[in-house]
Order: sequence, then structure tokens, then C-alpha cells
Amino acid sequence: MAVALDSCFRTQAKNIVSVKMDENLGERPLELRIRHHVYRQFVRDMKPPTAEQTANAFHLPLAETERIFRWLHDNHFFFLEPDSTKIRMANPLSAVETNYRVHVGRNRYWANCAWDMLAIPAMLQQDAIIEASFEDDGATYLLDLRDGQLPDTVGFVHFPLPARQWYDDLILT
Amino acid sequence: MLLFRSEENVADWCRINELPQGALLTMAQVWDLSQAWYGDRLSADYAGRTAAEAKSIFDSVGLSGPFWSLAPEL
Repeated sequence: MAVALDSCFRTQAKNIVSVKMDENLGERPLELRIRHHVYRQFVRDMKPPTAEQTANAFHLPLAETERIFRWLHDNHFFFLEPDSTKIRMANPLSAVETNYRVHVGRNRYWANCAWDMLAIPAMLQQDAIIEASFEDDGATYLLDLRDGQLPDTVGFVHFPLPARQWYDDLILT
Repeated sequence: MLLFRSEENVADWCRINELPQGALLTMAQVWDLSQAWYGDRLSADYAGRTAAEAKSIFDSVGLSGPFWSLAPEL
């Protein structure tokens, strides 16, 4: 199984292995169907589903759903709160407030970091208005992204750690 | 990953916060990377990514070299 190589997840790149995908969704491992469900619900509701809601949606025992949530966390498909099955991040979406706000139509999302604030409209393939603040002077940053085109804009995103260390320290990354 | 107004301020910010200075990408580079990295995230077919696939994405948006390598350090 390949792992989700996103920033903001703790892992070691050396653990990565490859996977052969099934073509038929019905034959896809349950874990990946739950991953997909979590993302769809998060996008729709602007907050992640709970393990209990997911268990109900899949007609699964809660304990089995929690086991799958932990498996998806361990394999970096999304990230749980410590010692919990509550979803904190499904990159690029954040379940908690951050400095990076993304408006898509009537929906409002929090991004995990400066990369993720652009990743949300990239993932949704929709227009977005992004509100953030510069780290160096605290000034507000606004970006109106339409038709998949990035307008002329100031700013830089700092990636403090090399890619192979992204998962060593979630907060720093 | 944090947002900065100016390249010059990053070095000062890293020194003050005693944090390493890594790579600095323009917003255009981050947008390209975002589309390549997250464009398939809502697909039911998304099943994670191998290191080779990740490298291919980095390469496709012009990010190469040791900083973007996922190979374990020797």
C-alpha cells in the first residue's frame, strides 16, 4: 500500500511501499472507500465526519471503523488528534481554525498551511478567495483565484524541512 | 509551511525563531505543485503515492535536488 505523502503528517519516507490498485470501486479495500467518504463529507460539510457517523454510513461496528481510522492515520491518508479517533486534518483541509481561510462559493474551509490554502482550490478545481496573513509583518493576504489561473500576486511559501522530513514534525512542517 | 511577504524576511524569521531555513517557493510554484499534488485527492481511485510517484510530481513542477528527495539519507 502506498501512503499519503502529504505534509503535516508524521511518517518516515523509508516506510513507503507501492500498491497495485483495483479498478472496481466495489472491490476496493474498505479502508480506501472510507478515505474517499471522509474527504467527500469533509468537503460537503466543511468538517470531517466522526467515526460514529462513518460507522453508520458503512453499517460497520464502531470499533471496526475506529480501527480503520487509525489505519488511515498510520498510513497518512488523514491525521487524527492525539490519542483519539477525531480527524484533525485531511490534507489540505483542517478541522481546526488556522491562519489560512479559503472561501469556495458558499463554503468556508480552513487550510493547514500556506501550501494547503492553494491546495484546496486545486483539489476542488473551483474558484476561491483566500484570506491569510503574512508571517513576517502580520498583514492580511487576499487572493482571488478564478478559472484555475493564479493572478499576479506577491508572497512566498517557506518549506522549512526537506521533503523526507516533512512527517517528522507536524507543526514545524 | 508559512506565508511570507519578502524573501529577505525569511532568513531573519528563521534566525529569530531558531528554525532551519529550507526552500522558498513563489506562489506560482506552489500553485503548480498544488494542482499536481492534490488534483486527484477527491478521486475514489486515490490510494496514496509511492516515493517514485512523488518524485515524478516534484520533477514535473521543476522541484528537484536533495531537498525534494524522498530517498532515505545514507
